[in-house]
Amino acid sequence: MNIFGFSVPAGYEFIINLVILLIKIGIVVGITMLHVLYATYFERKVIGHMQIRLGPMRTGFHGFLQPVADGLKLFFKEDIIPAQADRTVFKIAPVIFVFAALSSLAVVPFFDGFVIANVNIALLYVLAMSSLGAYGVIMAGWASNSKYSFLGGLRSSAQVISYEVALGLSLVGVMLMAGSLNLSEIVSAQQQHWYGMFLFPQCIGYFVFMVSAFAETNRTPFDLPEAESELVAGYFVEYSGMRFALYYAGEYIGMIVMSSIAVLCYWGGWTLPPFLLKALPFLAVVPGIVWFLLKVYFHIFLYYWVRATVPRYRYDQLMGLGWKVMIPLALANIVVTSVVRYIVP
Amino acid sequence: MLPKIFFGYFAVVMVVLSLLIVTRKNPVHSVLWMLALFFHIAGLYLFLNAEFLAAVQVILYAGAILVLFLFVVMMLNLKEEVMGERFGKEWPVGISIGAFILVLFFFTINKFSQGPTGQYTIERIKAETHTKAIGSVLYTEFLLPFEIASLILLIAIVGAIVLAKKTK
Amino acid sequence: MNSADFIALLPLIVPALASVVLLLLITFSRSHAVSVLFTLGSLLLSFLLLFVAGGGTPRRVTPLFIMDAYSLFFIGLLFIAGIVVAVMSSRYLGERSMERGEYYVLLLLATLGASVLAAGSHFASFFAGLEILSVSLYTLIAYRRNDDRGNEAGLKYLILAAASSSFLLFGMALVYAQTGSMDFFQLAEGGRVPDLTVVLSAGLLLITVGVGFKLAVVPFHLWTPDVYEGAPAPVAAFIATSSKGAIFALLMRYFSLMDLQRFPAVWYGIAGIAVASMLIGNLLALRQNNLKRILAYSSIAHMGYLLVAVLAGGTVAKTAVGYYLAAYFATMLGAFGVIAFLSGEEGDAENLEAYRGMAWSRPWTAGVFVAMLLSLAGIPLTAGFIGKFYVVAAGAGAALWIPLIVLVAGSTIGLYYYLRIVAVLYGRVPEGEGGAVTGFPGRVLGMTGGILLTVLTFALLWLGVYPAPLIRILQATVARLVP
Repeated sequence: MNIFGFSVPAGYEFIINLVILLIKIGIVVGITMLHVLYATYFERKVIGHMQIRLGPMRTGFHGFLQPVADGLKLFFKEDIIPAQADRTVFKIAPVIFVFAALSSLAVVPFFDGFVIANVNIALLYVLAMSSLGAYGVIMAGWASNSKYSFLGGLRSSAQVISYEVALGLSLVGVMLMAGSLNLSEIVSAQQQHWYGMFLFPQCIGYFVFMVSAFAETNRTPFDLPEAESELVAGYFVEYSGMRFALYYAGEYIGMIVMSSIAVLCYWGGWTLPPFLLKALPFLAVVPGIVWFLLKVYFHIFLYYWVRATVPRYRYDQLMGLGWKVMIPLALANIVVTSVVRYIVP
Repeated sequence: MLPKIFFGYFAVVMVVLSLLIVTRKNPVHSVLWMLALFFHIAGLYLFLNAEFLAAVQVILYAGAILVLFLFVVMMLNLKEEVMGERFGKEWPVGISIGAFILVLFFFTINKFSQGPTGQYTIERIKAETHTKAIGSVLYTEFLLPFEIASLILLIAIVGAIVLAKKTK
Repeated sequence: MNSADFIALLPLIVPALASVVLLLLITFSRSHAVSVLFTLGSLLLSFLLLFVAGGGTPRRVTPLFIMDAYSLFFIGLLFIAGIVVAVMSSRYLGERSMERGEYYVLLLLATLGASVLAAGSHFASFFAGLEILSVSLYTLIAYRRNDDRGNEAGLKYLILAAASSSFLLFGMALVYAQTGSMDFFQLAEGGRVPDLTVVLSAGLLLITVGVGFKLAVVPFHLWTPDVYEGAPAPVAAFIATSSKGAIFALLMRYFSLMDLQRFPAVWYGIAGIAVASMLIGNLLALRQNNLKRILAYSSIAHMGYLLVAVLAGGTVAKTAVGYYLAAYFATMLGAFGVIAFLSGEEGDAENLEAYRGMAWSRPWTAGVFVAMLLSLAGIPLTAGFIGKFYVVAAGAGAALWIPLIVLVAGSTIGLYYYLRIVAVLYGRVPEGEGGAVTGFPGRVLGMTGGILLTVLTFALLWLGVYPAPLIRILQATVARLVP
């Protein structure tokens, strides 16, 4: 093996590979955390302007240092654990939440060939990790020993289970089109078509996926687990300081992961549609990561846009929407997709 | 050597976790240990090149079924549960049944001989990917039991609705 | 799968489709009569399709099912039992304000599960059929939701059936791990290597434990009386007949293919179970005053008798099992039929004392009941006698003297409690309560009940007096059982 001109003695490739892997993980986590910081800033700014306010303006130029200040503040806050809480579970819950969100990133290819773990079941892995995230919520709700937290936890687990079905089913359309669960292969499968994005044939699937993704990440209009007006802050009322920051970060990482999956499965990932490249060949110069990030930013903007536009659902409406609209839609999408795929291979 | 260490780790930890599940007084803790157990089972599947099973194990068992367990267990009156005895008076019966199975396995395990190899070797699964291999077997050779299994789910749904429906 | 396979499977496909159609039907119309007629129609159609399917037998449809004369015979028996139970339920449910449509969906599916077992020749169909059967029974048993005993029964059955399934799966896993096959026919060939005996014995032993729970044989019988008592009478009839008969059909096939005699540990285990069931089932029935519980213990004992035939093995034993099961089906359905048709809305007619002196006011109903009880006891001229005679003949052929002695002893004990019920039926109502003329306070059988029970009684007597046709059919089916 040869690396940067140095030959590596046999038997040590293992260590070199490990080091490369660790560096990759460091880069991905670092960049993601930076994105999380500025996603909060971006959110406040976007919603502020949509509501004809300015948003944060004081810290730095146009409040640019606001997220750093917030982070520092949370870091130095006192860590409070309620007296009646189940201490161990209380402490583990936020770790599980963030762990689940961060480890989803392992299978996300950011541009051609850059992925921490190129596994064949990437999509299933993402679904598995998002269901693990529910434990962070439900454990926090139970361990806090507070009724607001408990209600938030219960709501969240019911919501996540219900919408996970729709989320998984909506992705089946993509799996059928691509014939693979590997995210890189899904992206290259999209390149086989002139339109270059599954967004067009899978528009119903995309719609169901996005709605379910909003519910999975507990964002408005499905943020019942943390509905401020009824449950104060839902499952993490009792959390403070760093642990609170973990939940906060986990939620944004979840948004980024869901946006990335949407981009990879429906928007062609880091690639551009072939017909567009044919019309405007100079676009090929721009590296893939730029397109990927732009598409992700658009989806994150979509989250904020919806939050500023749509009011919160009632709980029974949320369940009705999930079971009576989203799941049947996703099932119909699977049927239509497989029939079409059978006729037009 | 490395596979043996891996397997040893999973085997030992799974036994320990199972013991923790049945001995905890707090049922919520039991469920959480079970979550850990399910992840180890998934790990063991991965170790056997059964990646699809591993993912499904986590999605279905950890992600859906166990959450429902937790749902029910959290509704219990934990103060009474924790105060009371962990085991009922019948525990010797349980122990003896367990001992019977243990003895049975103890006597059979060293009589095992290498069975015949099937058509799905590890190389073939690696080439074909596990998901595809499972899918093709499930939808050709085992199509009928697959359909029958869907009936089991239908029965469970009908039954649950009948039992849970409020009487007018 | 080609069209011939589909034709062979039609008797199984029709009830499966019918259950789904019925489910859709009840979303439009909650009419009880429609549900009953639809259920009866589809079961009858499936029964008639058996003759169509019989044209292509014997045929293996995928490794999972074998449609030969033997499985068709048992499927036919199960469909008839399904029809009888549906008729019983029509009145039972008709008078109670319950969800009615779903009951028939579950009944259809339970019958389907039992038929899958009877036709199964693979661990996958074995397990899937068993699960369909038990999962539908969980709900059916607890169908009287406002009754505490019903809920208790449902819960008990759920937990024990789940536990027994785990034993069954363990056993199947052991057998599969060693032989790499789940197909009965391949197992029969591959399992003949003597080195494998220990592992296969362990697997078979665990399978026997799992199946023992479902058959309710001692020591796995603890749930039986409570479940029979808590379940609605028609469902109890179904558990006593279809659910056990189907498993027996499968066991006979499996054990005869595996050649049970080669596994002494399993053989002795089953012998112990048989002896214990015959003794304990009969002894525990002595002290009961609840008719459903008496019938529960009686069914435990009957399963013990049947196991003697399994131990014997061979052609005679298989004929014996077939005949015994047919007779047992008719008898148990009749006995539970009487209870079901006499049950009012306030509860099932299960208290023995309530029947005192019934013979004087309702001679026909009491006569039918007595005929069923005598058949259970194995008195000559009833089907039960011929069945028991056949089992004894099979046992004697294999020189199973100890089980046979226990069988005779058990039957003698059994006589006591069956005759005790007869004595109550013909007993005198204590003076001061209006005398014997007012007699039995319960309800009348009604039209459907009268016809159904008369038919069952005639079937019973016909099988008892003139068994030759059925035996000929059975001999023809058994001759082709092992290819």
